This record gives sequence, structure tokens and C-alpha cells, in this order.
Amino acid sequence: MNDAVRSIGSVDRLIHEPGRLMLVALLYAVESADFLYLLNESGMTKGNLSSHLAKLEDAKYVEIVKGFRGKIPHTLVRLTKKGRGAFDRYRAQLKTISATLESAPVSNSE
Amino acid sequence: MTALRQDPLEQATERAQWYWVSDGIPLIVMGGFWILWGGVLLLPILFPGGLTRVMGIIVILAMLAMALSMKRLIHAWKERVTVPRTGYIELRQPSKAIRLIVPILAAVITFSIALLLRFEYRSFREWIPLGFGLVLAAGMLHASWKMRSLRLAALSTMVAAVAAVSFTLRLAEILSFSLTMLGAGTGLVADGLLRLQSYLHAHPNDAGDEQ
Repeated sequence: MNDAVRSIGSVDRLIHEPGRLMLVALLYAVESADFLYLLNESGMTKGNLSSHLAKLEDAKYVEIVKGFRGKIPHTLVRLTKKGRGAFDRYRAQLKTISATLESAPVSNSE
Repeated sequence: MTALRQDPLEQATERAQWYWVSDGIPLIVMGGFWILWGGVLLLPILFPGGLTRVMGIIVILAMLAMALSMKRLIHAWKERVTVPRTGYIELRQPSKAIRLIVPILAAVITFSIALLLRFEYRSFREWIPLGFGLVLAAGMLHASWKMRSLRLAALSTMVAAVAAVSFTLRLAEILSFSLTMLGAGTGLVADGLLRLQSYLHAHPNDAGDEQ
């Protein structure tokens, strides 16, 4: 089996999920962002966002610092070195896969 | 269509950069400091005499203190205005090497412009403020293109014009520097205030239970 095709199966599934991919891409562009910013930019619900962030935190892809601003809870999220590395690898894999699929022969349906 | 074709990561980075200045706060603070710097540079002109060396030290210390407190002031202001409304981001900082190279490069370009444009009837020192104004205007034009801001583009033209007029009127070098900084600072503050006004209008403070 073609190695490039086989690599499709080895993509990081944790990042590959669209919601988490969106969050990682948003965090990749900044040093850190808070919960409200991620909520506004991703358009997710609070529950959905919390759930995705918890999974990314479990994998040590993000670091979450919880605190308070006055009496209001404030959550600051940053992509860890491991998370940045994983995203870099994921992007490289996607490029390889995309190149493989583009070079594949197109079947004639007629 | 353009948005669809653009690399999503590039788009996220551009959007983060735009978000950082969308509330106008960084522009107001930066403009305010430039106005102060311009004012501080005027001190030796306003108070000439034997205190020149002391004034020079005061000017350098004042500029350093302002530069060091700028980031803290922006953060403190954003915490009050932006964080409760649309959230907070910290932009990725360029590497130390880039932070060191950029001002050196700007100085080299300034001196190069002064050197290239030099004519016999003007000394090299007289060309430096014009070079500085042109580099400043070019930086603003670049920022205006990145932020898609026509106001900043107009401001960069104004800065270049102030530098050119100061040069034509053969003002003292320090006065030319000062006027260029005052002009750029005033423009930045005005632009920042307009942005802040529209930001506050678009995002009334209806903070939720978590930020």
C-alpha cells in the first residue's frame, strides 16, 4: 500500500476533529486567548467549547489557567509546545495527503 | 471568494492582529506616548542654556520609562474595556533577534535616505529628520495595509508631509523630529479614539458569567 495513502490513517485524531481543529488554529495564531474570545471566534456553545478544551488539556496540547477578574471567572488558554508541534505535524501530513490525492488518477464515471 | 482561498491559519493570524487594535486602545496609548516624546524633545529648545546635558539625560530616561510602561498601560486598559466585552488575546511576540534587528534596520534606512538625498546646500544632519519621517510614514503605510485602514494610510501621508514641510522650512533637527512625532501621535490618538468609540458602540458591556 502507498505510504502516502497509509498516512491518512495516521493523522492526529484529537486535532482532526473540526471543533478542536478550529480551536487549535485560533490558538496557534496567538500567544494566549481567553474563553470569551474563543467562544466568540469559534461560534461554539460554552459546553462544547469547555468539552473540547478539556480534551486538548488532557492531551497536554493546551494549558488552561483559571482565575478571577474581580468576581468573574476568567479562563486563559495557551497552546503548549507539544500542541504547537502536534499541529505542525498535522498540517504537514495534510499537505502530503492533499498532494497524494491531487496526483491520483481521476476515474471516468461515464 | 478571497476569504475561502486564504489560508485559514493566515486568516486567523491577521484577524488576531486586527482584533488587538480593533478597540483603538493600543493606538491611543502609542499615539499618547509619541506626543509625550515629541513634547520631551522640545524641552532643550524651550529651556536652552547650561542644562543641556541634564536635559539630555532627562529626555532619555523619560523615553525609556514611557516605552517600558506602554505595554502595562495597554493591558490595564484592555482589562477594563475589552476583556469583559469580547475577550482577551495576547499576540505572539517576534523573536528577540527580530525585535533587535527592526530598530537597527529602521535607523540604517533613515541614515541611508539621508545619505542618498544629500545635496551640497544641506548638511547630512538636516536630512536625518526627513529620513526618520519617511521611515515612520512607511511603517504606518505598511500597518494600514495589514489592517486595511484608510485612516492610517492618510495618517502616514500626513507624517511624511510634516517631515517634508519641516525640512523645507529648514527647522532645527530636534524641532523637526518633535513635530513629526507630535503629528504622528496626534493622528494615532484621533484614529484610536474613533475606533474605541465604534468598538464601544458595537459591544455594549453585557459580560456573561465567564470570560
